Amino acid sequence: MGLLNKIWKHKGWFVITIAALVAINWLASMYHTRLDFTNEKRFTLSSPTKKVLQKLDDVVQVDVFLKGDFPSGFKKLANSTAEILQEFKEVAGNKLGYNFISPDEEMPEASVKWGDTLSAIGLYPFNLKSQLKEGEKQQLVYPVALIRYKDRVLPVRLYNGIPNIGQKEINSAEALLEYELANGIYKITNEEKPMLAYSIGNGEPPVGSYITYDLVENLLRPDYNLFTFNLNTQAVIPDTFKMLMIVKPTKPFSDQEKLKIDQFIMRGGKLLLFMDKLNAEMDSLRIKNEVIAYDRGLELNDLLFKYGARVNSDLVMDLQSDKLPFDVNGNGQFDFLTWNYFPVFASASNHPVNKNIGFVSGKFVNSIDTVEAEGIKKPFC
Amino acid sequence: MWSICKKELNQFFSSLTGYIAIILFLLINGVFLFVLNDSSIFEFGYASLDKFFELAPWVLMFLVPAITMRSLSEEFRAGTFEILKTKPLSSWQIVWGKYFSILIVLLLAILPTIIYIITIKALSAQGGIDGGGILGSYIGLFFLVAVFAAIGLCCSGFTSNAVVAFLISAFSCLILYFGFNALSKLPFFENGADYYIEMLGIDFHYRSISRGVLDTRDLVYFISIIFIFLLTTVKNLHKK
Repeated sequence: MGLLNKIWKHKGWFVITIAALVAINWLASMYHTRLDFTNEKRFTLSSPTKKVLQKLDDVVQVDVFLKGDFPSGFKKLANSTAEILQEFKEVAGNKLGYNFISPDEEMPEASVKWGDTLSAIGLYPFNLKSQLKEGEKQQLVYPVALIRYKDRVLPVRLYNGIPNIGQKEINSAEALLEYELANGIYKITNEEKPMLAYSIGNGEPPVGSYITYDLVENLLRPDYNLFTFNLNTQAVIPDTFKMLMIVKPTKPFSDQEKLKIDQFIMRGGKLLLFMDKLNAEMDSLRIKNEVIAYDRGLELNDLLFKYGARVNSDLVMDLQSDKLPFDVNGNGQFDFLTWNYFPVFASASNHPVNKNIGFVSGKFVNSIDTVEAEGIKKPFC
Repeated sequence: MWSICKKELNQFFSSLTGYIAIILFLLINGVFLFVLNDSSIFEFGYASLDKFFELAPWVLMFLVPAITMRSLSEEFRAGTFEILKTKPLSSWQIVWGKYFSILIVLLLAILPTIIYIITIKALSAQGGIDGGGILGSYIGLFFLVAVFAAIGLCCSGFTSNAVVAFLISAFSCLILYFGFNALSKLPFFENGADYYIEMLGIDFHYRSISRGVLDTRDLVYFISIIFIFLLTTVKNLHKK
């Protein structure tokens, strides 16, 4: 009390108090914790992330190139990255290290700047121009991180937006940070890629076609060993495959094929089925003014029913839907009008599949009913 | 302390001051958020109260000083402060008493806005609103109000003229809420200082809490600001 009284009586009490408060705030910024009120726990690590981090067997080093003098938008991004990595560290312990490097620094044992190396491997910077009193100033910002594990290196982009970064962009980038970093760590620490079977033989678009290009080249090939698999000719689906993908089948499945799929699932395989029950395509509308959606007759009803799902023969219409350009007066004046058959989906659930995903646009979608099935648990309901 | 708080509350609600402050706050919010087309929540199309939490600080910036302006300056002007001083009360007790009475009036003003949540929830298509975000925003709003009240009380203690107290405190609130934010946008501070300058302002921390996360840093910031203004008030009363 004596010291406090002395300060209280002292002439410079105000300065002393301010200094003390600044110190307290600084300390608070070093040791801080937070409470997450949001329904979907947006600001808390998801359990798959934790699982990846807990299973690390060797040191993962993350280098983030967001150090230096930036506009406040990128500074906020750097801070959120540091916060997320700190949270990662709390889970992973000494198996994870991170540091922030300025792209102007030189690489160890080489007289090359980090920034040049990053550009050379295709991680292009944002070129920020700011107006000074005399002339302009250019600054290169690399919102990227390099994840290192054993002798491997994997680059991760932390922000893919417009250079003029605002609160909105920060929020969306922040929401994706956890996924980007955790996914990078997962990829680099996985010794071998899981095997994936891509089913053909029931009218699915082949792997090499332009329809599946994005799916195959950007999503599947980087993370999986992809094999095409003909359900018709092969006797069984081997257990070495982790997952079977059936993408937009158009021809009916025979009983034998369904048995193979069922056996595969019974032995622990996973199935991703992307199907349209009805034949309704935009192509038909290009030619005619109307389209009749008829059943493709895939014969998958009984199989899905066993798994507790029923895809209905209908098309979902919704007011919250995507917009399409329409010729409004017949003279080529196009206007964007809502097209109710392309509903826009949003979900607030915290399931890893849809956490932090924005709106998803559906095209001629069928409704799905869940049905009671013995021994089937549905964690998403 | 509580006797002072009670007396102040009596004063607010025996005259028109308290009622007018509360009614005005609700009226402005109601008209802007539900009637006028440009700023209406319904026109916005999403079931969110973001607009309310954007508007409320600006309304409160003038409302809070109007409530606090008389609390100390009136005592000086009427000479009743001399009587208060002879009572067996410490300066801290006087300040806390007045501060709590102001806070209670402001909470009474904010409380009815819970109707907005119920309205929006009832009208939303999927019945889903971001409850966490709204809870966070209300906590942020409470701290904002608490800071404004501390500023207003402090400014009121410096002068015996209520109008001067109102103007100074409204200006201080503006500086603290918006000034630092605007200052950080100046090209002079670009690249480096702007982030730290923005951090000094209330807006930065208010928005951080509004996302639905209560961070200890924001908490410490708000408590520090309230503390420094109340301390200055007490110190000032000691001199009188």
